[in-house]
Amino acid sequence: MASFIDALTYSALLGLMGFGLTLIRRTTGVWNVAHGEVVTIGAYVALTATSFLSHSPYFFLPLAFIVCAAVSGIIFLAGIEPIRAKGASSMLLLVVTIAISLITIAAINIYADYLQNVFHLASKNFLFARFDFTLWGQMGILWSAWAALGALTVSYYLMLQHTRLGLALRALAEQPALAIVMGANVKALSFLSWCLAGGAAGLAGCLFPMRFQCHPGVGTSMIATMFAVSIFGGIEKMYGPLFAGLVLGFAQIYGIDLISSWIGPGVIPFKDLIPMIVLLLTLQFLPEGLSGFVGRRRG
Amino acid sequence: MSQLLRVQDLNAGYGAIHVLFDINLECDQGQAVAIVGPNGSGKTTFLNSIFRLADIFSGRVVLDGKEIQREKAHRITSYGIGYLRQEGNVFPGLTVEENLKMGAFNLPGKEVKERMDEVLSLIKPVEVFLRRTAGTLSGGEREMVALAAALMCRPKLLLLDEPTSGLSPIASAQIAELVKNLKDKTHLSMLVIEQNLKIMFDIVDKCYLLVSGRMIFSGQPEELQSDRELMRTYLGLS
Repeated sequence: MASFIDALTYSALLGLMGFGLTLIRRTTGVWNVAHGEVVTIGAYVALTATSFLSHSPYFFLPLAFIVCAAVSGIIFLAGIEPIRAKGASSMLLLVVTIAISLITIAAINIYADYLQNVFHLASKNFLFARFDFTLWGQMGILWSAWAALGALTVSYYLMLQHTRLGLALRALAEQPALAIVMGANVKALSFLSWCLAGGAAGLAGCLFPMRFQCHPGVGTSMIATMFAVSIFGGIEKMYGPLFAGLVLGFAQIYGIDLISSWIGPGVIPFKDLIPMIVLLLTLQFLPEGLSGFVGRRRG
Repeated sequence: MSQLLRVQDLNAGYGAIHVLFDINLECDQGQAVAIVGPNGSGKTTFLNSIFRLADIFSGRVVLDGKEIQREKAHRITSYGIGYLRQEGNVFPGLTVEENLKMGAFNLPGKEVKERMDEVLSLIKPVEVFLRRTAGTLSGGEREMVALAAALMCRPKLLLLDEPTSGLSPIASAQIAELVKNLKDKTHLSMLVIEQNLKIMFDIVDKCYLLVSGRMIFSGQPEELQSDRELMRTYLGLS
């Protein structure tokens, strides 16, 4: 049962992380490698606020959303947009996000050292399970993570389908030059996308330590899995990461249990390879991802 | 007729590539102006530079008395310029209705429905496929949708970049008829690039000949047609 709850919780958190990655890819065409560090920043916002203000991490979800939205927005404005404006290719922008990722990892490590050395906080390895509540016999993180993912997916879907802003974001994803010609401020829309994506990563980061161990490299270690979620889910629809997170979360947790029962516990450290195998199979046989496949079948 | 657009000593291109040299052009209100020239002469770059999709190195673009050459690209529509691009002129994943709404992105929300009704009364065939996804339409249908979307912003000036390019003769004739009707009914000013000179000479009031980024002729369509040397050398017609 613990594995099942772990898988469900992990799936929702993966979905939240993949949501941001998909949103950025969909609207601005950039694969943001630094997204993992934004997730880590969310966890450190929770650690800092919980340690100094002595409230449950749930209380600081809005703060994590805002801080991470701001960080992601700054990454876009300071790192991506000036280079994109000069006509940089997607590949070059990917390299830029790798550089930003490395800089951010260093900054997070320095901050974790600072918290540990000055305030004697266990900032290099932390878990908030003691703060969690219980609802219907299950830890609150299970319900919270799914509520956050569901609310984000539904509200974003409604915004995309029923507002002018959403229409402009969809138009931007299809034909950026035409969207400009029709009067859409592409820079502002892209900035908004990065902020929303960062906010979603912040929620995931704030919730993650409620069930799983966190450290300065937690987001970095999960970025490949986030990419797998985003690619497997597809960028056609925003519900893609939700389903992909569910499939990959279960595949990772149950898959490694199954494989280790056949081969032995030596394979457990390699559990992150399962999403990579799914990623490779997706790129070979379902390159448009789940949502693209569903769209094609319907269309 | 009062002057709507004046382009003065325009030098433009893309990054370090200089495409247009000292271009001067005028378009009066209600006038349709053609820009003709061989492939690669800079016709599309000229339209792009008016819309700030190409880099302007020097010169002025004055619309209705206001200089717009330093405006950001997304603001140009709000000054009253609609642009039907040659390629990528619809959002294929959006419905036709959504494409039209996107065309009215700069209008206040409450005016969009009214404007859509006006545009649909001008381009009636579009109404039939309003709910269809633009990507499922034929080339001619897409062009009509693109034209309708370009009209949604209530333009004073419409830029048309080869509206019949790649279309069948029947679809080309339909589009040409629509553009002609549009000019007659709305007195909209137009800057037109069109390879099909027969269609174009029927629509426009004035012609400019652009060769290697320089304007080498301006005058009435009849004047250009009667200049056999220009027609043969640059337009391949005798």
